[in-house]
Amino acid sequence: MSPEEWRLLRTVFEEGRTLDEKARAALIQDRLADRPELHTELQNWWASEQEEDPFAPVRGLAREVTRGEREEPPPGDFHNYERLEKIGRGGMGVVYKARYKTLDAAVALKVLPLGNCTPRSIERFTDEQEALARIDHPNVARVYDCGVTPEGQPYYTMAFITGGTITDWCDRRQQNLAQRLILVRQICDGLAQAHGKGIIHRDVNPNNVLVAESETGAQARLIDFGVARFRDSPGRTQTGAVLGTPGYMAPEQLAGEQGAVDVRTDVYGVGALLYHLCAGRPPEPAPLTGSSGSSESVFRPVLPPQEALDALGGGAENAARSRGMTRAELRERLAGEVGWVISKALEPEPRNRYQDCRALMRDLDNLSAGRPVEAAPTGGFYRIGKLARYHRRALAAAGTVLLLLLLVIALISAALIRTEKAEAEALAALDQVRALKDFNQSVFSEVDPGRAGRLVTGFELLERAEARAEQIYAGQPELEAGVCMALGVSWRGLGLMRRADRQFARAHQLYCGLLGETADETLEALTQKSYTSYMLGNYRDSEAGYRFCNRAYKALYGPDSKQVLTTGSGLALALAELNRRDEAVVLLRQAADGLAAAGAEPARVHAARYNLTRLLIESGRLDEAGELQALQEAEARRTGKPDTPRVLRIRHLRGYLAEKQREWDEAARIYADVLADRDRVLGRFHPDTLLTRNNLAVVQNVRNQPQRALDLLREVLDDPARPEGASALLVLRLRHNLGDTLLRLQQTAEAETVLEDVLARRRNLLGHNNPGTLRTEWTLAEVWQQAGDQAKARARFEDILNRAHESLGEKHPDTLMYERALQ
Amino acid sequence: MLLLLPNLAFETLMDQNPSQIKIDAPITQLLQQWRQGDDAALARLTPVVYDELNRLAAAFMRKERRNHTLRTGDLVHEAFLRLVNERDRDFESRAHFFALSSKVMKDFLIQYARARKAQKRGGGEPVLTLGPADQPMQDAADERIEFLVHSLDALAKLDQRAARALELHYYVGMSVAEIAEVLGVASATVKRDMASGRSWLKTRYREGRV
Repeated sequence: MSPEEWRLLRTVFEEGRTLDEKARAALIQDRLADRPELHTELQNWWASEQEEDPFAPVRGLAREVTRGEREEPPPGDFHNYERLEKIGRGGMGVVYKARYKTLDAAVALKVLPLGNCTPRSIERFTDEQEALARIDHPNVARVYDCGVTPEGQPYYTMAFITGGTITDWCDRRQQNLAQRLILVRQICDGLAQAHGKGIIHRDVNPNNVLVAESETGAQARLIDFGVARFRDSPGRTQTGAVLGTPGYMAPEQLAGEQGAVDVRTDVYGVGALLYHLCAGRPPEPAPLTGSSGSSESVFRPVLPPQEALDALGGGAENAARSRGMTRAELRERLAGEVGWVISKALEPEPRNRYQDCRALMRDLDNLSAGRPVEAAPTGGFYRIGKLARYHRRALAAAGTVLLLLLLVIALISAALIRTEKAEAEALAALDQVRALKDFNQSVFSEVDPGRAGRLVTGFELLERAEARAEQIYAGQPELEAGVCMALGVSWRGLGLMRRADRQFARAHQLYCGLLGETADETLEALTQKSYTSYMLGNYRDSEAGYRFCNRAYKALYGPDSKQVLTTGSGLALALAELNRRDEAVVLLRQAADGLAAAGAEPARVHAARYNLTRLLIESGRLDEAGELQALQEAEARRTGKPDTPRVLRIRHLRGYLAEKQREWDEAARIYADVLADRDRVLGRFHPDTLLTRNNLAVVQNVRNQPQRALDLLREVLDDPARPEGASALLVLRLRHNLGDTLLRLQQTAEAETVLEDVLARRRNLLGHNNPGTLRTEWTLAEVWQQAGDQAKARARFEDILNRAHESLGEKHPDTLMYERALQ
Repeated sequence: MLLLLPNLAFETLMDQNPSQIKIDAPITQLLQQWRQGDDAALARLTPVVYDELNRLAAAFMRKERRNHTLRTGDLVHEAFLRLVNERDRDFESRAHFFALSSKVMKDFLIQYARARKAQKRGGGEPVLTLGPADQPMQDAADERIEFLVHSLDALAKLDQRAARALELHYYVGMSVAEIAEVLGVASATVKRDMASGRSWLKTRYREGRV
């Protein structure tokens, strides 16, 4: 068809579109009498208007890609679920009562509405799902199943709970105060577990606490972690967005202080729930008095619960009756211990509240058992009186006032003596553990090649120790934990991260059981575990662990302590790997600025600054990094010679900076200088020296000098004097690059041998989905490609991409790199 | 206290060539800047949206392979719409932007069709199991993609504007109003262009001419 024909056809076609067949025939005769060859075409055009568009599916496909399937959901069933009715809306998503057809069981099905399927809300929805899945507790809703509906909405299902919200249920069932306290205690227990896993609920309120009725009794069940924050990501909720339920939100939450939200925020929520359950209405701020400050402040105390009861007016009688007591009795409890516990949980300042749910739980137990509560106003009379009441039966039998007093004194002192003795014993045991641990570590450190730099002869010894530890220390968990820590440190020194990881995990578990989650020993074990997680590429675990420790240390030692800053920088490195570099930079800056003042040793201060610089470089903030690097170099040179290890480290950074600025010649020059100095000062097998050599080789490859790179790498790798086993991970990095270099030099056969070996070792040391392991695998597949085995290579590339996707996440630089390479 | 590390052991550098991986600036932010008069923002925006499209397409392909549903949002679409709403901006850059976008999508569609063909020839993994209702649609799509692409290229030689309108319609999934905005013509014109173009396409398809 010529353009002229097209124009002609088009004009006539348009004129005839609205006409009937007869008129169209006339039109053709009129306009195209001399072009009979176009008649059929034109008739076809008109006829085709009645036909379906055969290309509609293509358009559908394109829309699906560009719009992420943004259509409203057709109501209906999917998979094995039959949606019955909408039962509510959570923090995110709609909840349906649904029937699981195979089992004919009712479930609660939570779905993210399609109209709300933005990346952020999908992420939050799956966060919630993940949060719930991580908690295994009878008082937290359990996820049965999760997935994606055919329309593309994420969903998950939980048990369908029949009892209704906790406040309604308690009123309906006329639960007395003690029964109500039991339910609240259950929620505390569930939350404590969540907190232990780094999850904060942030929206504890009656609508999120349901009661499940069963033969064994009623059980409170916490649902809806829709506003939970478990990676503690300030970016996750929009800045300033206040999520939660008024009346149940802690002041720090109302103030929109993202950073201030921690486990004590949930303590507040539980306190508010308790308030409502006891006093019959949610807490509200106390009326302002002249001295209580600005009305703007959210940090205001709440109305005391007994006054809330008074405010119910005539309803107060009902409230009391449904709690199994008279109005006066209820008021007395609210003005007394129950009220104290509530008030302590609802303290406006987090630091004045119960510090965690376990502490609140202990006091609830005290209330139930009639023991004195922690929340008591200070003063001895309360405790004595309470103890007397607690032992009322024995005392009543004694009969006389004198005897009563004597007994009270005897009981109290007996209790005190018992406590002191137990404490002394515990302390002695702890000293023993510390001594043992120190001993073990001193023995094992000799086989830590990082320190000894010599042949490892202790490997078998360690393996034997590990195999036996459990038997030897059976029944002595504190000793076993100490040994686990020592073994962990030793394995890590050998570069055997997976083994180290297992030991630290075991130590952490043991200490948790022995000393609780926030004891120093427990936190130390978790810190170590987080480090090995980091090394293994389990960045999420690492992040959660460091974050937990960081928060716990904050409560223990204050925000500026060495411990907080150190775990903060660990957290930063994990975050950096999770592509949250901005947060990481903030944390590292805090560490770099604060560690010196916190009394940390200079090496650690330098390490923090070094890591900050490195991170800035890797974030592409090269100007800032350059300034910081120059500053450090000037400072280090002022205080020492230009070839001290520290100065060399900073000079190495300058090379790295040049590398990232793609000034390859400059980078090669700097690295070569540093390498010469490090060779001389530290020796050729020192990890720092190996690293500079490694980077120089990489830069030589980029400069298209693979032969030079090959010489550099072979020089150390083939050196018979190289100590076996030392710096295992680093040596693998060099050998990986050797494989890469051989690939460039088209020495395919040798490249394959080298890379296969590196791959096997990396898998063994770091696991299958570690970023380093994946890179080796990728390079190996490139070798296959070069050898002509396209199909095998291609399949592996895709497999790697899939695994990177799953284990590193969509946004990891490596994932993106693979994605790009595959296109 | 045995608080060791993080310390220098973290000096982990790139294994391989330090390939430059760009961190995508948020599309909305760039759009904001552009609206506020920063013309350079459009230049920066184009590759970002282009990348985002590529990423979406890649994610879509993975979904196909892994039988997962697409978990991406409507960033690109949002960018499109916002751009469409930029009435004051010059036509040239906008048209350029959409030309680019539809080219990306065209490439994606071709790739997609080829991948599906390869799969049908017995290339390993089972054909995706979307919902039963989706299946025929998907099959129909990949049969026709190549035909559509060739035909629209041919149409562009006869009537560029009509071809562009259909590209935006089929490749990007835009509505008539959106296309009208982008091409800077009235909706009625787009409708007419599309009607002729589509009739021509259908006729061609029925007769099996490529």
